[in-house]
Amino acid sequence: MVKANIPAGQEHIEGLGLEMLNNSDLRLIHEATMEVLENIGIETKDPEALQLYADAGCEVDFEKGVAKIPEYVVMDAIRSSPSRVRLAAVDKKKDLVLRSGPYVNWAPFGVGIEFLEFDANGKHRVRASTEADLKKSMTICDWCDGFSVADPTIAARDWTENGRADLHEVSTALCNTTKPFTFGEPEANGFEDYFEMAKLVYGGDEELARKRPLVNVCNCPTSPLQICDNSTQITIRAARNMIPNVVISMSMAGGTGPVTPEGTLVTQNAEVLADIVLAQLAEKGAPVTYGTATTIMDLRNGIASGGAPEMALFSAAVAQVSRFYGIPCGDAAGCWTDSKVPDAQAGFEKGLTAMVPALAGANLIFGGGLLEMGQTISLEQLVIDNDVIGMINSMLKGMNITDSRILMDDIEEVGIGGHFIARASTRKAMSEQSSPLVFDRNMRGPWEKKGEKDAALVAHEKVEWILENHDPCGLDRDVVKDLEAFVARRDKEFLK
Amino acid sequence: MASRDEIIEKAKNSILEYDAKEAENAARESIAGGVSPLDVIEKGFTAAMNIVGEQFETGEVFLPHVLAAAEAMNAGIAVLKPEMGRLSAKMESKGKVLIGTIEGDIHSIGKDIVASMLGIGGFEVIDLGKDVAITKFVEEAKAHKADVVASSALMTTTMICQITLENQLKEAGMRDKVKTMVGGAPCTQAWADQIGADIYAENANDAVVKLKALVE
Repeated sequence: MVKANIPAGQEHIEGLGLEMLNNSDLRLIHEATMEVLENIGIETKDPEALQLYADAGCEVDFEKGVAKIPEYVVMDAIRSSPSRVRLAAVDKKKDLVLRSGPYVNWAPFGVGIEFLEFDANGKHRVRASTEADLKKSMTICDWCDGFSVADPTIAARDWTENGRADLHEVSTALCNTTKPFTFGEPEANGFEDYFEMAKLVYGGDEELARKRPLVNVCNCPTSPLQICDNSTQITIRAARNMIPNVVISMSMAGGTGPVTPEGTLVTQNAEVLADIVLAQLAEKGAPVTYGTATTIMDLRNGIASGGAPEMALFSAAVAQVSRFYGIPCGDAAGCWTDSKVPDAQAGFEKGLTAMVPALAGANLIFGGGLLEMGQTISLEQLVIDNDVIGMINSMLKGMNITDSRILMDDIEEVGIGGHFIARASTRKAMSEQSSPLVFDRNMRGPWEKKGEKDAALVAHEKVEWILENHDPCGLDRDVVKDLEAFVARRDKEFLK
Repeated sequence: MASRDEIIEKAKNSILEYDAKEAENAARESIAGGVSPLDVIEKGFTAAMNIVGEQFETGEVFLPHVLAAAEAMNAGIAVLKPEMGRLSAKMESKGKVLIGTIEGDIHSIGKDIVASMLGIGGFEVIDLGKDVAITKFVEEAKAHKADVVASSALMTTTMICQITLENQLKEAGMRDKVKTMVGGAPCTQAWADQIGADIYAENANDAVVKLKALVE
């Protein structure tokens, strides 16, 4: 039989998308960035980093600590950066492979320092975050199916002066999720400890701990055009150990970058690429991803805005720029807000800043649970953001206009009047529908009967349910004990 | 030839699989095998429908499943009807509900869902369809000796016809013989109170719960 109407693949990937920048835009950004790196360069005081730049052919002023990086060195680094980066999980099935195509994933925010306590009558109280808060946050992130990764969202500040807070955070993360995670505030000299802890998880198997690193890291250049010692060392050590490392520029247009988003797009690109170059010079093929938390400095009050539409534009632009280089967009800011509580401002700013980078195909959008531009974390907000994410994911599917999706048979059989509710096709496709957990879709009557609760209160009840019912731990009891003992030993050494 | 129990099992499974064709097949086999149609309905179809109803309550299945199960059950019962007539067998009913979308209003999907759910709930439902003239509500209520007259309206402009229905039922001397139920997006309990309707139903579940409470 002759096959008719075979679809030719015009647009290969189905779904709804946004391409803000065209090819000449991307070329222009690239050329301007090369101009900055070649003529102005990047500053670092780390002699090891400067030596790596110099050995590769950069013009290095060791006294001033400035490396001017020629385009060919940048292009070599881009070529040797992988297009796919695997974030390994305690549960292998939950590994996340970040790909440099328009494939969207979601992460919570890390790392906040304040915790928003919620009580049932809508009152909020904010205080310094603790290890116990982090454990709860990990449990929620592990449960929420919107998050592909469960990054530690808050610092264990109850340990800052009493022990190794960083190890408490890593241990709490390892014990309370089977999803992959990136540790948001690594110390360069903590790498051996992080590795030892991963080894404990793998029952002492050193090879596995190297092959499937569990403590992924991130580092942030200092805008404009500097990388501090801790950052260069994180990049170098992560590269040499083949540990996934996301480089996040946190430039502020009008403050630490030019006031125009276009100008700041160039300087933040220079910062991230300089760091990625360093990673590739330390170890060819090192798994690095391109991140952004770049936004505007609100020039009326001097703060960096986390809910500004401009931030959404930066994250969307970075999604495209990183794809242009074939490097996964590891952590792009989105689902952010300046609001202090889960309210209307949070809802709108989060929806806006989540949706635009998602449409642009950012590979990992981070911001879940965040309030007050990352200062504060709320468990209720994590659950609300899980709904925001689910709804945006539904929207990304767009419409797929094909004969089989039009369901002409159903249209003919139901005909005029009647309904489609009882059709087999309806049952089958029901799971395709968006279905939020805390956003209420009832009419007023049933909503009133359920107690007239707003989203934050419903989320609070969900949080309590999850903490009561979800066991996030994927490790044997012995391994958990080993980790706790390891951290306790390091605490003792710290206090000596 | 399948045994009585096998046929009843088949009838039950057809509903659980939302399969109208299988429900009809089971009904035909039961007639050929001389199985009591009321047994097929009660121990097969209705038993399965109760399971689906429970799954609905607990959130395991949703409206599309319940209505599909009801359609399958109706298909099976349609096959059994002539046999029941021949044997003068009658299905048990919790009461007769006359239902329709009110005059001037063609929005019938909500009413359809309420009708289906009442049918599943064990009521005999006479569905007059949409844009039903007030006089027709009254005539049919009289002819069928209905226990409940249920009307739905989606618009504030057609909702007012529910007042006319109350009045005409009174004029026909029918109002004390039936209970009236109103529903639809603009209707509220306050509206029902205002016009003197007996029951306001927020949605299909509410309608079933309130009518069951009325007969029990």
